[in-house]
Amino acid sequence: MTLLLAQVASLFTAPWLAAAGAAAVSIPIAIHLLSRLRRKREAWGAMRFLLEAYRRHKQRLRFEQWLLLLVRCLLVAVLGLALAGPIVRGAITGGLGPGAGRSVHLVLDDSLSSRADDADGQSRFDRLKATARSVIEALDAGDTVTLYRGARPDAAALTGPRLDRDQVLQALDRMRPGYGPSTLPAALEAVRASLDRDRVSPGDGVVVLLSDFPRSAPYLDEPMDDALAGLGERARVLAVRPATSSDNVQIESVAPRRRMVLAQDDASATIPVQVRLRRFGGASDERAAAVEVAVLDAAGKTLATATRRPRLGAGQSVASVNLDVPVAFDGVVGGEEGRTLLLRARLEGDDALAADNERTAVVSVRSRLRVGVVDESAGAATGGGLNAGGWLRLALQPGAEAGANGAMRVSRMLPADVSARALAELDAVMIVRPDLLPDTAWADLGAFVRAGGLVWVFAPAVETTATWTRAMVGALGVSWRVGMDVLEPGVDEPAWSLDAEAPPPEALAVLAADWADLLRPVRVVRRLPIASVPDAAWLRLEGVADGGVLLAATYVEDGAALLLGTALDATWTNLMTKPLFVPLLHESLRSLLGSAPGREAGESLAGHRPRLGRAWEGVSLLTRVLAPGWADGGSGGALSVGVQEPIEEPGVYGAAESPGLRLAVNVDADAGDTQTADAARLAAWLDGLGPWEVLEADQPAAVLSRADAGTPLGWPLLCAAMALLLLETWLARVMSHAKAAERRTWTQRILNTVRHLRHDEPLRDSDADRKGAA
Amino acid sequence: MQGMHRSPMQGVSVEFAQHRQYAPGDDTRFLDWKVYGKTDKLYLKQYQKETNLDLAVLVDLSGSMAYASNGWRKFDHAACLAAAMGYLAIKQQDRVSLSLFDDQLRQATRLSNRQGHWRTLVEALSTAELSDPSQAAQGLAHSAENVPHRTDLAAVFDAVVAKLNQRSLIVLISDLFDDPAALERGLARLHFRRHDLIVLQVLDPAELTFPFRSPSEFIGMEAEGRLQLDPAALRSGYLAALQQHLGAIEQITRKYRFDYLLVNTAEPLGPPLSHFMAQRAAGIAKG
Repeated sequence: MTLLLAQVASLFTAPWLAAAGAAAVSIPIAIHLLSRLRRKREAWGAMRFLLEAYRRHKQRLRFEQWLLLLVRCLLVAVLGLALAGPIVRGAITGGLGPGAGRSVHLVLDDSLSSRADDADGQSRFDRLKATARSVIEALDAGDTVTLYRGARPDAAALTGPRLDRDQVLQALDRMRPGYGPSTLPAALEAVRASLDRDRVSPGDGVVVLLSDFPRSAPYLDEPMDDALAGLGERARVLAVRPATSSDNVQIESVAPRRRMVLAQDDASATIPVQVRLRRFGGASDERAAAVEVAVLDAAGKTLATATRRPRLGAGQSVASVNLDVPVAFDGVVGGEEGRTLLLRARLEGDDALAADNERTAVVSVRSRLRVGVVDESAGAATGGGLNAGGWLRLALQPGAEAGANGAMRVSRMLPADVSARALAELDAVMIVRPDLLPDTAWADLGAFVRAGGLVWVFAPAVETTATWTRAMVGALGVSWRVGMDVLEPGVDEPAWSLDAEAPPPEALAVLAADWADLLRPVRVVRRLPIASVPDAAWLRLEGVADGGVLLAATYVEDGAALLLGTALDATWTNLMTKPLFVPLLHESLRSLLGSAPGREAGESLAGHRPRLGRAWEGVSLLTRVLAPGWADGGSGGALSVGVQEPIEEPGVYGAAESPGLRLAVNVDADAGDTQTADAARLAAWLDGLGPWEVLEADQPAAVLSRADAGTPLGWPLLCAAMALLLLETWLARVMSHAKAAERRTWTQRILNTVRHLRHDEPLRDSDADRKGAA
Repeated sequence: MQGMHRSPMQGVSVEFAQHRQYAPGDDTRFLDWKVYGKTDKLYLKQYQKETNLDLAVLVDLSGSMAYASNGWRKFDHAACLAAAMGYLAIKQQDRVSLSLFDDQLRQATRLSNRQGHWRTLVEALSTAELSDPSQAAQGLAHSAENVPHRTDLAAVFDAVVAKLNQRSLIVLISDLFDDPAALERGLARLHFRRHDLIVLQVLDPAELTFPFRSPSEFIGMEAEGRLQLDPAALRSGYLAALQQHLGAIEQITRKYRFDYLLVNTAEPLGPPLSHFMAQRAAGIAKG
């Protein structure tokens, strides 16, 4: 009701006069009613003739009476409306209520970069909100407003268009910037769908883009979607100017150099951590004074910290900081089952955006890994030396024979012993005789690797055709193509060497410094041809036409699978005897185990629904156990969110059902670019929408004022009032049924009254009646 | 005691009227032998019989007769007319009776030509009770005993005729706010009994002109209810209805050859009385 009144009030330049005019309509009615009450009583003898005349003329008399009353009410109302200054607008022609005015769609970009502070300390988001508020307040009463989140269009700030300004403003006040990238095209798609759904005519649609337009927004370089290409013709598109660029240094990532940290119980361990920094703009080193990495237990208790000052040279935008954080475990590490630790990297300094100055990661610490080596029963040496299984056991557990308690516990398995039950006790399986495995064993190995295990297959040192490769590829679900025939160099050709110039795979980054030296002495004389995607090729032979993939590695769901194309036999290769062999095995196991993307339960991005692995099955609710240091205390650690919902707030989350499970939720680092798009680039993108205009942030009302600001109706209504006055005079004269000399309209009555007052003569109707009777 | 009015009937009487030449078949007893002896012609002697006149005055006592636009009620005017006519009749040795009625005969005096009878008539007129018009004007509910009575001429004529045992002159003084058909039925009875009738319809000048202009609430004086209206808007309709009624009354009286006179209470009593007496004399002369 209040809204309707506000809408009506907006149609007049002086609404109170309109209200007075509307109220004045009651005056003729009141006079009419009062005249009925104040009527003189007259005892009348010839009543029968009066009744007879009344019966004959009753309908006509009533019609005349109501017509005259209507004309008089209209006269007063029109006069009041004329003085109130009504303005012709679309709201008048289209009526009042939803749909009568414009359909205004406000897209407020709440991406991470909108959190950046400007030079005056005010955040971009607050500026955009202020502009949005000005826009809302500048709208007409009949306009509907729909509010969209620029970074989270699926999480609408308001469901559906609203007429109530207070509701919209309250929703606007409740809006907080998010942590994800700007997704304006998705929001514009929602706007377009709304325009289509509500069938908004082109003249009534208004789309207001309120964004800081970060430079890194990927859509700026992409062609506009066909569905949005005509949006400028469908509605009036207004966009604010890009925000002023500001300097920012962020932690792009923090991760342990090895996902799996092996440490003995009641001992100290060093966790190598790599922190990657990224700089936007020309921020000086003072903006990134120090990087502090803390190791915390699953409950958030700090176990150890390490600090290092990063160095960013002139023009350098990316830097890596490697720290070794020594952690003294004061209790049981967790045995072979392990325990979860948290890494928190924090960038100390003063830059424009604080939300990307902290990042967390989850690391698993175990006392040892359990590796099974599937070998034939004899274990006979080849060439007087060790067989393949022996080489592996020696490399994985070098001190085992001397009774040392190493980081690996290696167990030998016969091919016939490979079963799901046996595999459940292992973290990794190394198969040196795949040709002896039955199909059921391959099926169990497929299930094992998908569940998070690591399966490393070595070519067997046999001359027969490798028919097992087909069963392996099918069971493990890898995309490799493995030949069945053993290849050897030509007669005059030397043994194959490894391509030492190729960079090491990311999982073996810790070997990068010595990588070429480690690869150079290795020779291969027999191999199975492997064709795989480039990223899966960890080791390649030099100068081989078919690509020469010697070691292929890939993630299979939660686990990983590796295939070495040569046998651990002296007649095939000298790899076992070279320095590369031991670190290759150890680093591969430590980096691949538990780090499969499919199994990744350790990290997610804010604003996205987390991908939770098998370990999280049965968990329905995630609770934040560690809030970022910069986060306000409002949400704190008590924040809970369902596993099927996107997690909006960064931090470390856990589940009550599984105390050891932790999920690190970080901001989207790419969205932290505080540099804004240049005007030409932005204009080129907006041109894809069709016609658009710049919305000056300080004067939104001027831009949003309607072109048809309204046509004054005052004079036409005054003319109408005059016409009604003449009509009333004529009707009153005609309907008085009196002689011309006795006819008196309102005007005449007023003049007569004034005349009598001026002459101090009381006006008495009864006397006049008597005179008329005489 | 014989009255002083001439009878319109000629025949055997004590006063010679004229001679008429004999025609075969005439009664030979009325031959004037003296004229025959002188002129040798046969003439009959004709005499004019002097008859006595019984005057019955009927005055309407209904509620509407209390209306007065200027303080002079219609009943006041009717009472004066009745008193004047009674006075004239008694002075001529005629017997006079007075009947007051509304929807029935309320009060009646006997026929008499005594000199003191006029006082009786005046007393009856002065003590007659009409419905209180002030109560009607104030919109008060009428009590059962004080319900304003309407005029019912048919019933009144029945009652009056029953008391008249010889041919009489009846003077009806009323506003005649009754159904013309009822009046016609009453006049038909009088005509059948060979009574003579003078109808004096008494109306207030306001009733004749309806001069009201201010919106008013009209309250019927004979319990017709009340009506709120703008009188100016209904004036023409009212006057048309009134004229139609007056026309009907005049037409009915003319139909039975009775005298009719519309009396305005704003006018003096003399002119209508003179006019009436002249009309009566002319009627008697015509015989």
